[in-house]
Amino acid sequence: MIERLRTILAGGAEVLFLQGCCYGAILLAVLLLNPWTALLGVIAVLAAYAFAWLVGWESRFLQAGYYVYNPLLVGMLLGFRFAPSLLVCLMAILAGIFTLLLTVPLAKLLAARWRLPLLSLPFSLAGAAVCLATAHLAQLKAAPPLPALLTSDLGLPLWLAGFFNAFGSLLFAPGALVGLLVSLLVLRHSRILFLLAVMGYGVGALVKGLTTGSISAALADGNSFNYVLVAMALGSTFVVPSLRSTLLAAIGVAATPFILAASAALEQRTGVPPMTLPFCLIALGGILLLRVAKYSLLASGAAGTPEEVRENWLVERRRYPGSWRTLALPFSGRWTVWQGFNGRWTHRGPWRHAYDFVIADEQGKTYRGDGSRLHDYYCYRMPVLAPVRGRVVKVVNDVEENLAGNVNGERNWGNLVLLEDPRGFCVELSHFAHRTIRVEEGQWVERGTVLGLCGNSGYSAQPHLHVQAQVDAREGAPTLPFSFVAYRIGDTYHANDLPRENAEVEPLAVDPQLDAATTFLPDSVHEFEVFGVRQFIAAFGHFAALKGGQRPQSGDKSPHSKISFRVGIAADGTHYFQSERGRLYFGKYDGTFYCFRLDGDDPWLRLTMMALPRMPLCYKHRLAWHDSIPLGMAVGGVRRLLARLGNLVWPRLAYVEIEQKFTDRRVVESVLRHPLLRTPHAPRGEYTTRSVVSTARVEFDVRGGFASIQVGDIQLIRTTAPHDAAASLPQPSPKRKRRQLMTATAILCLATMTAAVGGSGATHDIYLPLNGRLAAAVVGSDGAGGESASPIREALKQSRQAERSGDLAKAIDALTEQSKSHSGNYVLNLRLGWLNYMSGKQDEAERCYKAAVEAEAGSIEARLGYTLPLLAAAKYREAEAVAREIVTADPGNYYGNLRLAVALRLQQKTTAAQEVVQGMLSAYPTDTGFLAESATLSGAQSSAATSDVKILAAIGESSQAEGKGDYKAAIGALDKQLHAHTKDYLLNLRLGWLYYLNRDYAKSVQYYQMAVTAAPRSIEAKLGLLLPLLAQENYRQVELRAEGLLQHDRRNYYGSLRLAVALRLQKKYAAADKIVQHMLTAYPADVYWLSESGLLNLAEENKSAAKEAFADVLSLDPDNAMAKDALEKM
Amino acid sequence: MTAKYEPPVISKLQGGLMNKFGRGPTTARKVCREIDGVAIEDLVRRFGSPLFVFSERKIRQLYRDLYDAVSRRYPNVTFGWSYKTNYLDAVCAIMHQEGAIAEVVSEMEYAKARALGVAGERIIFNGPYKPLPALRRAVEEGAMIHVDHLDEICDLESIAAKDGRRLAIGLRLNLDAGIYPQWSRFGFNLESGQALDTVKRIAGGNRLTVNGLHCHLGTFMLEPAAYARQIEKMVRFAGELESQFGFAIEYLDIGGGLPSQNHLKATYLPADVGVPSVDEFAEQIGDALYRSLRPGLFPKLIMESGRALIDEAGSLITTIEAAKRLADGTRAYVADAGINLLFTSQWYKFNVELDREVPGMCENSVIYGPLCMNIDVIDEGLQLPPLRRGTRLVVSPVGAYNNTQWMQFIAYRPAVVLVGAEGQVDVIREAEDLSDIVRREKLPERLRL
Repeated sequence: MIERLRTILAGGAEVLFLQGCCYGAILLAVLLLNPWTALLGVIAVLAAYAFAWLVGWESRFLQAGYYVYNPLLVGMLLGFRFAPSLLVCLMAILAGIFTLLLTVPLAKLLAARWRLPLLSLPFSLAGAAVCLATAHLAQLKAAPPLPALLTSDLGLPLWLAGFFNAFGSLLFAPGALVGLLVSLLVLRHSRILFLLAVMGYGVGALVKGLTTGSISAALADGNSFNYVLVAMALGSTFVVPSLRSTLLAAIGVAATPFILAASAALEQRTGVPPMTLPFCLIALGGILLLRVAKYSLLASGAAGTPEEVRENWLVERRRYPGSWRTLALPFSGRWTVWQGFNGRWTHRGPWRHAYDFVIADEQGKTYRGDGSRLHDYYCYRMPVLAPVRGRVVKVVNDVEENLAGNVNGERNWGNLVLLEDPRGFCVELSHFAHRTIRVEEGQWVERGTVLGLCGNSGYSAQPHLHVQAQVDAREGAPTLPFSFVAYRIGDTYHANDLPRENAEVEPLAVDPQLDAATTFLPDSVHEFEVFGVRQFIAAFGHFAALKGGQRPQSGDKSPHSKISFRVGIAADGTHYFQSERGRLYFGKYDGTFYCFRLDGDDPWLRLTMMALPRMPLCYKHRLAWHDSIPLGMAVGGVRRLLARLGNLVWPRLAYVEIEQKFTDRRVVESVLRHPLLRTPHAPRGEYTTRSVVSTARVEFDVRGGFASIQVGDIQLIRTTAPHDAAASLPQPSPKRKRRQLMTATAILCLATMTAAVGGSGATHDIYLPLNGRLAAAVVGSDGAGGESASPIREALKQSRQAERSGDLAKAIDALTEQSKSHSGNYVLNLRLGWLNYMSGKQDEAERCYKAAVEAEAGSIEARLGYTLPLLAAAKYREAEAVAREIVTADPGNYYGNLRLAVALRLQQKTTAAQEVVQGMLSAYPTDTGFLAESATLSGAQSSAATSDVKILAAIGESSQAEGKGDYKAAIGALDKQLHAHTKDYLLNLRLGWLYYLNRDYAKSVQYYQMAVTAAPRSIEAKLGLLLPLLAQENYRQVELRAEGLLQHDRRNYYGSLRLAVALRLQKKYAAADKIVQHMLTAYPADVYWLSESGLLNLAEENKSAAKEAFADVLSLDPDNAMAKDALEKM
Repeated sequence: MTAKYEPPVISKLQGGLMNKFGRGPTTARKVCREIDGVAIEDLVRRFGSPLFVFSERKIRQLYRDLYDAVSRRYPNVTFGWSYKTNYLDAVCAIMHQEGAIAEVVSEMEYAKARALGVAGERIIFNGPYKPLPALRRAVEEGAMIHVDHLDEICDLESIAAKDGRRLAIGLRLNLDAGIYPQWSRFGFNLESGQALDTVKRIAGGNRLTVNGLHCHLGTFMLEPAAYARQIEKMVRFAGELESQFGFAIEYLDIGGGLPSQNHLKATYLPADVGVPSVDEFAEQIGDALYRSLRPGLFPKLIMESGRALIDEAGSLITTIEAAKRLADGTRAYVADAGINLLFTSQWYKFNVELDREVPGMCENSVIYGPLCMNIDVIDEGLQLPPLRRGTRLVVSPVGAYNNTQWMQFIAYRPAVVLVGAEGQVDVIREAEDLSDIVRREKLPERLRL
């Protein structure tokens, strides 16, 4: 019942081209200002509905808005003309049914026959009938004048009051008030629609004013709603809004006053007012005209606001440049387009839709030698493959071939194969070599079947391959547009497109592994866990706090950690992912996986579409492609609103461009770009030309399906293998969950996309925790900026110096004053936490660290500190929770894991602790911290990575020598053992280190490499290896190795640091910057990373930022020579 | 240009030296003054003699010619660069840049490919001996593993069992493609039913799946039709595996063996006449695939060519250090490069060119290498004019198998340089010195002099 009511309300709203039951309800509420008229309208609609129900048209009634708003208008017309009485109510019932009866055949005629919308034509006709029928009924009393409130012009200037009046008159409430409310509704729904209404009113009134000689009369004209409606219909609703369609709408509006004048003349004779008849005639005529003229911007009944329609139209034109007549390239390997559609020589007139291909070498020549013999031509006698599956309907095989440079003008098409595609067109391939065709008439061929060999028969001066789609199986029949699928030009994949002339194209074959990975079985459920949202919640909380709202506690669990998609099949055969709040349609066509569109507003499905709008099912190493998604999918709020208006002039604003590539057979990485959504922290350097909105990454599982989907910092990671839906259908969502989801949506819009346009200070601040701040923000992060930063720095400096001298109390005192005025400052809290912990004040330390964690939600550093007072105060459970947070953000974190293990052990959770320790020991096999922990756990003496007593003895000996600084002796001690144990991990690791100390870097590299080979999972050895490589200035190797290491431990502190250094020294600043930014989120007050950031800025000649960074370094470490040096040099 | 003055000589009339190719044996001499625009003399001055020189332009051209020839006849082709042919990093890097994946046959080659930055999944691991740790690493890194014998299958099953997952492997076959000798020592024999039995065993073990077939016919193949026969047999076998065991065969690896334009000692015809062109091979391969595969189905074709992609891109510059007459009157020269650097001189008659025009009658000559070994002969029976000390000889094609099989024997191994597309010359392997020779040696303290 409620559903029906909603449908009816939505139908009512369509009278103003608004969509949604909410608009219907508000409209009805506005109309109730004039209750009698509204009541009759409702009566008429209900009568029509009841009649429809009675005769079994209910579903049809509910299908279209015009079944609702036409009776509504007729009923209101009665109420407008006559005073309240029972008789009028009865007439409203009859009029409602009559309108319905008129609507049904009209709909059949217009909609079914000419695909025209019905508009309010039934109202105009039924209204006229009602007027004529009631003209002489004496029982009916004319309506009393409307209340003054409704008719008043609210003291507005004439042109404005006239504009509102136009809206009001349409709803039988001539006057500014109703008009004002209604126009606000229109404005809320669509800015384009509103602007068109303004334009329509202006142009209409102007034309009428010019023709009648009185502008003011024209402005006040009660029938001007016709202009408004014409402008809205022709400018947007039935066409894609654009400047062109606005011009067309203006022309339509300009014609309206004449029709209006004509019907006014009619009114004088018959008493029938024009109502919406002029609008209907102009709009219907206009649409019909455009359809006949095959106007390209006609909207094909797409749903959504005009803004959405335009955006989708712009995006789809970009996403799908090809056609539905899809052909595979009819050959294998790299060929060159010689002539395309509307080609220079022969592809003309009815035969313009055709392609010619040849093979060219790097100089562009199509032959070797002098090209006098056919065999000199590269493509001569190369196999020609069937571009479609279908039946062979014609084969010509007997035309002799021409000598090079000659043509056969009599048998133009030469040797040919004609295929009939079951989709309803034919494909012809021409100029085969003499008697090489291998298929017969009547034979069925699959795509890729060899048809014959390329040759030089027919109108062909050099061997080439001609292909065209045509209307029927006659030789030389007129051609049809078509497009080619699944090919590459260079490293760029094209899913369905037309290659340009001279492009070198290569078809690609479907890769079975990719095909399997993207096969989603119906009813299977894919479950994911969401990571990274917490930072955004914290950020969002910060935002809310600024606006006076409540800030969520940082201890809150992530709001929606588990999500699931179920796979379903739509009626048209496409598949979709179904979640609680939306559907993402996807499918595989011609070798490409597409995400088509998203219904609903599920943030996670949106994430999926953003990360993988399409993917070739053909794998080539480093294959790249691009796609676009509507801007509305990526951002919301004011920016979307502005961009949607802007795209009328600059279409590029309508979409976010996504550049994607395979980095691996199972990994797709993307960069999302949009010209306006520049983020202040977007990667620089390689991306300078166009701004990067975000980056994305999709990883497929070996067993198929997504393993993880990542956009920006948000990551969905699959939890279990997909399983059947029957076991666990998603439950209907409780309200609370939905609210959380909506929050998440908002956060997604805010956070993943753009991270602040860099405008106001307030918005800038929201993203502080997100993007990893440069130094200045760390110290002065509560918005006070430069002025307050230096006192904090000074205090930090003093405190640090006091700490150095061993006076903890003084060190704390130095900070206390600043911390009072900057209670939310991250660095102050961090330092205070540490100092308090050191002086044994665990409670105070806890409080400070907690505040630091809150100030920088993504900080690992602060959490690491936080565990210290917790462990010291024997709060093991809390310590475990904090350590787990660290490990979630950075699974390989050394200290995080160590403290987790300790916390677990102290809670007697021995098995869990063992697991952690064992896991870490595989990465750090010789690490004393974990070895000791392992020993404590098992209660036994732990045997390091080696069990050989001799080796241990040798290592002991060498360590002693090392302690004395005698590296040669240290090496000598181990060398003896190396003979017998060349592959021993520990020996090699130690030797690597000792040789490094001894500055013999080549040897050091060698031994570290041996250690890596001996224990491939060891992080320790890989980290060590970076040292001699750095010393050798072999930065490229450092980069490669460090990247390899980070693949296993993506936030490894030292690995990242060494990589950043190597990148910086190779002048790859953009990449280095990315790492530094990323690590600064986790370690915002870390001296090394701050120094690195300073050096990086210095290298990029970004002096002020560098200065800030070094100042920060000095405040945290007053004796830092490097920072001092750098500052001095500047 | 006026003709050079040649002093009159009187030489003994010799029969049997006429040949049907019409080159006068007494006057014909081949001259090579430069390699890709870089003068021989210039190269030697900068990098010493002897010197291996590779042409980047030629490597890329050989790769593209073969790739285009095959890919234009079959739509799903991948090359696996055969590391053993030449695993100098620079050479491998060029191949990988061109799109080849790596084909390795030992733990060492595997480590080399990984160290170069090739991802595990882009490595084919062939070879009869894959130590367990190497095998485990290859599995972990997702390499394509082609099993050679049952014991390897057991190893792989134990790895799979330990990881609790199924592994996809390639199966190496040997078969009769009508050529002699038939290589039967690698993989499982097809005709005897051994291969099918093996697959039954694999299916029974339920730990492995077969997703590829591999077969390498032999080396320096001069019969294109052999590949067609091989492919037909492999496709038929793949069909059996699919229908009987449900193993989907995703790729067919037809090995390598394509010849280069080198002159085998046993053949009479020179290479440009006797060796079929790449197009002839490609045509046979493409045709056989289309003939035997189901229409519209294109499993990946992998080719592991080595020699055909690199041999002609490599030359060796060597210098005449001495001239002498042998007891039988034959002219003999001592060059600074010999069999220690040119392992393939065992079976190839190289193209030997002079770096300059040398006047004088040609006579039958022998070129010896620098080793104090009787077998150290680069060529005997060359027609050369009288050469002075210091004349450079350019020996080609030597790109394949020499830089992997050269010996550290008696002399140092020289530098290898690469001439780039713009004529830039880079050292891709430095000349050895004593430290390379003794680096791994350990002198016990009591023996120290």
